[in-house]
Amino acid sequence: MKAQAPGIEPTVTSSAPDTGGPDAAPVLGFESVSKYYRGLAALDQVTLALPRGTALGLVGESGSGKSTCVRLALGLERPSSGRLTFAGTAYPRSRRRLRPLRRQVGFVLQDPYDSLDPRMQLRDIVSEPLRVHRRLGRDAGGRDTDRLVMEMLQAVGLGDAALDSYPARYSGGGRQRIAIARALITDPAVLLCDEPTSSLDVSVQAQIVNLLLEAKRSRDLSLLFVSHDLDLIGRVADTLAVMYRGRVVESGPADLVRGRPRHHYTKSLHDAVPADHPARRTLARTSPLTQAHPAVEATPAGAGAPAVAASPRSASTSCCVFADRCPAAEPRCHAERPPIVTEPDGRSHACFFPLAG
Amino acid sequence: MSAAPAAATSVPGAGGKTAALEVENLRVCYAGLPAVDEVSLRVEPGQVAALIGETSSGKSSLALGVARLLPASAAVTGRVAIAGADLGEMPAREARRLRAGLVGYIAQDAMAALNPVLPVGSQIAELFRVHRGMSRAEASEQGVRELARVRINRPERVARAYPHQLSGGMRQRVMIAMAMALSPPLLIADEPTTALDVSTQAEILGLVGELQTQTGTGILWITHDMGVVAELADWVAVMYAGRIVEQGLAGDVFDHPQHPYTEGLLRTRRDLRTGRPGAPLYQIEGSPPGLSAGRRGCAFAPRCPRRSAVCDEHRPELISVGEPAGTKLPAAQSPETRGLVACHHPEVAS
Repeated sequence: MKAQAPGIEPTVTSSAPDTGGPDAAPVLGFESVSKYYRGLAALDQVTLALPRGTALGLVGESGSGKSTCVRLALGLERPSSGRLTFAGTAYPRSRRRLRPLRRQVGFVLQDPYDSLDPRMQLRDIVSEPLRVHRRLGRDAGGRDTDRLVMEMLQAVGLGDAALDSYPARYSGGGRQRIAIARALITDPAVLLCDEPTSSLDVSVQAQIVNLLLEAKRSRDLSLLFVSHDLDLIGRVADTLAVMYRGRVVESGPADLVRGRPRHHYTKSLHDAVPADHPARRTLARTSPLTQAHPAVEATPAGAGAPAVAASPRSASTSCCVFADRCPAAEPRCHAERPPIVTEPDGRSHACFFPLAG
Repeated sequence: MSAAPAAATSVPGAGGKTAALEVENLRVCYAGLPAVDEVSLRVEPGQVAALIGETSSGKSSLALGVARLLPASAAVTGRVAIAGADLGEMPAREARRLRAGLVGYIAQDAMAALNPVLPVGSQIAELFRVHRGMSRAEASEQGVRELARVRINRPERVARAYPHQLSGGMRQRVMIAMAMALSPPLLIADEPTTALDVSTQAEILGLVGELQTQTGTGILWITHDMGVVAELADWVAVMYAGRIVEQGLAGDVFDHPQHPYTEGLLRTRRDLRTGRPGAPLYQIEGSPPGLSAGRRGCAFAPRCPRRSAVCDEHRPELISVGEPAGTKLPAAQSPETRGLVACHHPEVAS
């Protein structure tokens, strides 16, 4: 076990073998990335790496910084400090030079009712990335595009959809399939999935997740999968990074982080999942997360800041961010930032008093 | 499943007293299409009944129909009695006056349900001024007490906050405080935790469980999450395409689901928790049907692994588990009549 100085964080990488060899750069990397909104840290020295062909899961509550990671990875915003890399190369600063990179990054968002334009036909929705990225010839957009769109729709299980139909005809699951077809049409290397199933019916959720897993396998796609559902993300991701108030507090192979958490926050998150049987009710048990937050805080109303911050972010970086809710907190936790400790089994955690795991 | 539904374990609150909620043959139609189709159920005081279903299963229409909160364009028939009072039989004015004292309603989207331009304390206080005739000062003090009751720290400060200044979990607590303020005999919770984080959901479930133990309110909890059912419910009714397809004590339904849809929901959840990372998830094929009139056969048949010719022809009636097909049940189901299923091929007892 080796301790590192605060701020110098080991890279969170997947345990799955990287097809590019051990030295190959991750397809997507965050190197000590911080992002501030009006002086408040939405991300605080986050280091992540997504090797090609694997799935990295980001899990945490509202306001933990998951969606900020997605916005940065899409190139919609720039980090305040640190850098993002794509296949080992830093994200360019200019919008024009970012464009070819964006083609490589597809995205599927949470709400398929919001993310599809109700006035556009299926043909135009799915082929839009091709137009945006000028992947069509000047005279294209006719038969070839239709063929490509049909292929994509077929791949997502909408083979019998009419190209001139509108999103209103489709259910939530159908719309999310359309969004996936749109994301995959430029043949991206990375797919960012921001809570892609949380607005879907339970019986449809598994279909969409299976579709994403199949795309990952057949297209050598790398997934950045964001969710607050520890069960779901533990099934999808090879590696998990648990986020709390803008920091990665624990990371490592999904089965270890999910099954034998080291950080008290991960454990609390685990304990907050409802029981699987009425005979095993758990929520009467006191969990640090089931205690009320200390106070009502006006959330930062700045652009891009999450409207609903479950945890008011502290500007202080000299403590453990979970200390005020942690059952094992000691004075030291309130005074010092815990360093990231990496263990031989590939797990890392930032806790002075970790669980036995 | 033991084929002896008559030997039901007793359910708390069951007996001869007035039910918190009694619904008989409720039908809710939009433009002639049934969203809720002949649903009957009964919630005793002190019970938590969960109604589980997906999009367009009719669960929210049922909830709004029970509270008589549906727009005039919805055709509602059937009898609904809350603590013995039938709001549908009263003049609208009278119903409005009585409703707040009879039924508390917690909506899914607290941001939309709360008034954005009034501090939350005033919104709670308004209930006491209108329905209890309190003075402004008394009502405002009472409002703060109600916030403290839902375990909000520094309630005086929160009372002055506007909804947008509160976190999602805090807003939902305020909704609960409003719903419980007049101590109604019935509380309807329409997916109040769906939009919340798992940890905030745990808070809310714990809080409602605690309040319910104190007050003895009957709760109809609407959800699409079997985990919530496992945590909270005494008994559960599974809705599909506007009808109850299975009903029973929560433990029984989890142990021995009779309907293939219930079984699928439980298996989906179990697989999520115990499956190998990266392996395909168990999935129920197809998607829930939309509203349609004059459907023949079982609505779940197109997605059903047990489908046979009879499923396409005849709609299965809701009958006691183990009873022969065609046995008609009395209209209102008391919870002791547990183990109901509407399926031509229910799971055979093992």
